[in-house]
Parts: sequence; structure tokens; C-alpha cells
Amino acid sequence: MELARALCGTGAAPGGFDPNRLALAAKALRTKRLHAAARAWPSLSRRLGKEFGPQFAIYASGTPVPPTPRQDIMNFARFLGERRKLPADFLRGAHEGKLRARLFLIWGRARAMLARASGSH
Amino acid sequence: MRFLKRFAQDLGLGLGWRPELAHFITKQEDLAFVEVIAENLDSKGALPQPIAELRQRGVCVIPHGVTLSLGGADPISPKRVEHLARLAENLGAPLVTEHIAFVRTGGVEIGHLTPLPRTHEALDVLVDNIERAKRLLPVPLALENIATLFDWPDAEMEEWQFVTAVLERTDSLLLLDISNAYANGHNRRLDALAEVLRLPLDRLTYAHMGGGIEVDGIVHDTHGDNMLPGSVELLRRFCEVKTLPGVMLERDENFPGSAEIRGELDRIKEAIASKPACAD
Repeated sequence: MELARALCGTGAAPGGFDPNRLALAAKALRTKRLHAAARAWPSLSRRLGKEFGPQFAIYASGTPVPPTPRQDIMNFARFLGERRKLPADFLRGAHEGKLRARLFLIWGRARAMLARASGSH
Repeated sequence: MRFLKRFAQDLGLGLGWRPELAHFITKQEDLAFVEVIAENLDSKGALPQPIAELRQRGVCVIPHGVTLSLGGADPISPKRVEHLARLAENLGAPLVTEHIAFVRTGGVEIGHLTPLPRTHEALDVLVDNIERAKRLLPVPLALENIATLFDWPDAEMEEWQFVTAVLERTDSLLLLDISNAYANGHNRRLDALAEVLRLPLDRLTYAHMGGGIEVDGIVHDTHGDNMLPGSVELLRRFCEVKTLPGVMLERDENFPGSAEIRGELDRIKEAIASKPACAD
């Protein structure tokens, strides 16, 4: 619908609306989306610092707002990763987390196998 | 002259519960109620521990919906209403609250509470959705007035008339956002107190106070700043003439330290210390 498009920045102000006020509302919407996403992953927004706002604006202008801020910030992280703009230590941390989780799983299964093997004597 | 209040509970002083404020909230001794954002709670699981502890302390916890989109032309989702209903039951809440607004259209999310055209047609849609919602709710529903930076053209009535009509046609209660009334009054160059006093205040449950900023003569309801002096003044003037059963502070972002949040609550307490000269 026309008003929604104008508020999301993909359409002009529909007839009869004050274009300046609509522009202010659209800006408030962008700010709200940015702040909500930042709250959903505070360490990422802290890590990106001054770059967070501008990068998020580029990402957000191309995509409609998803149902939750958490989905939004995850999509943003993927967007950054694809453009090689995700901080290296974040990527490393994410990989280490997955590796750690995988090792725990392997270790847990190995322990269970050993326990069964020793129990069968 | 004493009129019959439709919501019999006096709620007292409250604060919007946010994870960032959880620790602060546990240390306050004068918070009688908190409001939780319904969409951030799992209605099918156990309550988060901080909320469960507040309930054990006897603090009233009220679920506040933000995505029902009661004013939208899209039919409201029964699942969303059922979520609100389950939360009300899990929390033992005396009511649930939502907004006179819409947030999506044609399945596309706007991402923010958006005002409705103040027309009879829009009123009919809103009333219809509210009646559908109420059939699924085990407790009364209170509706909140939103802040808006713009209005639709061709309004057929003023905001107070639109709000009054929807409350009376659906027999709903009122969650009066005084900061929103201040912002809208300022931005429309209307007398905010006069507008608010025209509302059916026998339906009043509690009030919201939220922070904002003024930029180039326009008031923005940010919930990320301290309350504007004009907004607190409106609260004070309201309490001089009307009884306010409950009032809470809303802070959603840019969280300050404990002392500053406490200061905001104290500003509210000071403003509501004004009492009507006689019972109304």
C-alpha cells in the first residue's frame, strides 16, 4: 500500500500527506529498526562501532523489515559476511564456537562408547 | 461527583520491563506493576525467572502487544491473540493491552505503529478486529493512543472522537499514553490537556509516560531519551483534575544508569502527587 511504501522509502508520499512529516516518519522508522537490531546483538554493534550505522543502512535499504530484530541482525551479519565486512575475530569466534560444539559432541560419544565397552567385561 | 470506574484496580507506579532493566527493577521497592512486551515472551513455556520472581513478590505483570495490528485491513491473526491470551493466564494479569494502530498491510511489515485514517470506514475495520480479538481473550482489553508524526488527509473526526468511538463501540478500556498525547497535541498545535479530558476517562486503566526529543519544533516520541518537560507538565496538570489509577515509565533503548532511570521515576512520582481537589 502506498503509505507503507513511502514509510519504507520505496515510494513517494501519497497524495494529501505532508511529505516532510512522512519523510520524518520514514527516518524515525529507519532509526528504530537500526536500534532494535543493535539491541538484538550488542557485541556486533559495539565491534563495528561507527561503521554499524552506515553498513546497516545499506543493508536495510535493500530489504524489508523481517518479523523480529533478531532475524534482522542475523541477516545483516550474513550481508556483512558476503561482503567480507564481518570483523575477522567475529568470524573466527563463530567458527571456534561451532568447532568447540562439534568436538564436545565427538568427545561425548567417545566417552559413551568407552563406558559401554568397559561395562561389557 | 463520583463516577463508576470500569476497571476497579488501582495499579500504582510501574515500569516497562526490559531485559536491560531487569536488575534495576528487582532493586526497586515502589514498583507495583510492570508491563512486558507480549511478543518477547514464550507463552507456551515457563516464565523467565525475573518475571516469575516479580510475580512471587506480588508485582502485577501486564502483557502489552505491539504486533496485533488491530487497525489493519488484513484480518488479525488468531494465533497472535491466543498468544496474548495465554500470557494473560500465565501471568495472572488483570488485563491485556494493545494499540489503536496498524503495523502491516498486504502482509508486508511496516515495522512501527502507524496511525489510522480517522474515518468511519477505518473505525468499522478497527471495531471488527477488536471484537474478533475480544472473543479470544479471557481478560479485558485496554487500547493505547499512539504518537504520530503525520496524519492521513480527509479526517472525518478528531483523535479524541476516534478513540472515544472505538472504546465505546467495543466496550474496551483505555491505556492513556500521556507522552503520546503531548507529542500529538504539540505537533498538531492543539491543547493536549483539553483533548485528553474529552476521552471517556471512566475507562482509564493506567497511563504511559515515555521519553522524547524536540527537533525543529517537532516532538519525537523516541522512548530512548528522558521525558520532555512539557510531557511531565501534562501529567501533572492531568492529575490536578483527574484520578490516575496507575502510571508507568517506558524506556526502550539508550538505557541510562540506575540513578538516571530512578530519577525519571521520581519525576513521575512528583508530578502525580498533585491530587484532584475533590473525588471525581
